[in-house]
Amino acid sequence: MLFPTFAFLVFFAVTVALLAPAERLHRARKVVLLVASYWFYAQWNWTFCFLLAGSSLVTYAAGLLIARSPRPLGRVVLVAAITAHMLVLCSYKYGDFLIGAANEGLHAAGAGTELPFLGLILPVGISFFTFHGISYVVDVWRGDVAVCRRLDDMLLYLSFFPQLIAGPIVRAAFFLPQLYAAQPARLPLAPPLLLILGGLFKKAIVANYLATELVDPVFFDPSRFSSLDLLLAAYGYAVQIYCDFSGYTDMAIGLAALLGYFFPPNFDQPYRASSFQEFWRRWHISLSFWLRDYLYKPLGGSRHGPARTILALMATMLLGGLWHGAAWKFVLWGGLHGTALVVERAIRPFTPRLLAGRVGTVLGTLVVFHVVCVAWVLFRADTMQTAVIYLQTLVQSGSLAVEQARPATVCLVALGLLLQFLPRGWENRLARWLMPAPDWALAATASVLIVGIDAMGPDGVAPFIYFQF
Amino acid sequence: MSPRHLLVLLAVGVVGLLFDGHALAGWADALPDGAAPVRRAAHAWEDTTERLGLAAPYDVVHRWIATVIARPF
Repeated sequence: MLFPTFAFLVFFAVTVALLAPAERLHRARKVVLLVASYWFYAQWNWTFCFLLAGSSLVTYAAGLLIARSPRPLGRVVLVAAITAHMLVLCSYKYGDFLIGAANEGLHAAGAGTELPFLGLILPVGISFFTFHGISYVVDVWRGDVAVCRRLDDMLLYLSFFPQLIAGPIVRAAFFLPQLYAAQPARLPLAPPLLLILGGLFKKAIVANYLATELVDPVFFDPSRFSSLDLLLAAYGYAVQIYCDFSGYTDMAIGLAALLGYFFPPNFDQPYRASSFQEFWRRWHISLSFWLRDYLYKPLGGSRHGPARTILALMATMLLGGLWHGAAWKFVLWGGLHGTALVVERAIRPFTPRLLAGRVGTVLGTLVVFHVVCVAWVLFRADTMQTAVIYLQTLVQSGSLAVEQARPATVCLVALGLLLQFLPRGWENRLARWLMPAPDWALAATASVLIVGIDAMGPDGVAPFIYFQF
Repeated sequence: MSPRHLLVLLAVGVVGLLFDGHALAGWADALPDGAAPVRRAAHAWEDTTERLGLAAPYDVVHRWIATVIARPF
């Protein structure tokens, strides 16, 4: 069930109607949210509800054991819990990938036998609820969050439907206290409505039209297109994936706020970054910080000399790439970003003073954006061969003929890039400006805009790109 | 969930039902086989909104945007 659908509107309305009588009943409210979240997840495949519940149970039990055990035993429990989470994630997500790699090795070695593939269906959202679980047990171990003593709170933390499928990855220390509060926060109406409408516009119009009218046809057979079409499609994909994913998380944050729960932002105008380090502080912020706190720092971070820093950076980015999917193109994508981060770190002391000013910021933004676009080509192409053909044709064709790009799609690309350079905090200022408006006016405007966006979008709703991760 | 939030959902639902009968019919079509009466009612409502001209703004915008998107350089 996708957010921008009538089915979700019905689901959300029923959930809200059931929550209304439970407004002052703390436990009943959480039971309603829990049942709604599992029902929401069951719409993809109800059998995976057992996996989600099992993951929550392991996380809950591990948290309690870590909190009650002496340090050495707690460490054993921590390692066991992380191993259990990773085993489940790896079996579903990487099992066949690893078996395929092993079979290739066997072929190369001349062995006449093959390992059988597992053929498991990837449960939607598994990467996200696994990362929630791992971060919780590590935080309990580190003493960064108080242990969760109620199973229903843990079940809801991992399954809360606005963030269940594609994040944001909300830390336990941030979310659990909100669940413990006797009453959910009374958040103002204008900010969540703006987030939902903005997210809907980005997904239903910008991302969907760019996908169907520009990106998908060009990436299907890049050898047929001119350099200019390929360049516009690369920019188009950069805008599409931003609007698709940030649109989803904006809607998730807005829906959670309507229910009284606050999530931190997940995107902050990433393409205005003038360094790769800055890019990763603005793109998929919750995953970037998760990788930093639970992978990069435990691997040594920047505290043990340059060699160890490079190793930690590369390992983090390669695994971050692999997190996106079981394919070498994602590993290469992560490797490209890791290399860029390492090179940036290495040349920083030698950067001329001139590049530290405004000129440097503009140059840095252009370089970072274009390297990110090259990496997106690897990310989007169906195979490595397609990505190579794409980049070769882009450089060698030299043709400026326009076959696939149209004025409307070019305007959508320009709009997506313009969003990156609007003054910081413009959404908050707009929300504050709208706050004094009467409720009926906000409701009426939101209703008309939602129907208007639906009318302007293409027929049908394409799945969100990040659902597959 | 305050009454203000309920008001928004109610407004979206009413405006959607009045001016976006296609979405209701599309949702009903995806329901399981046992929901045939809901499907019939949703399509009857979609026909009614078209007959009354309520679906016209949606259709005009939808056709216009399709023309804009398809226009070449």
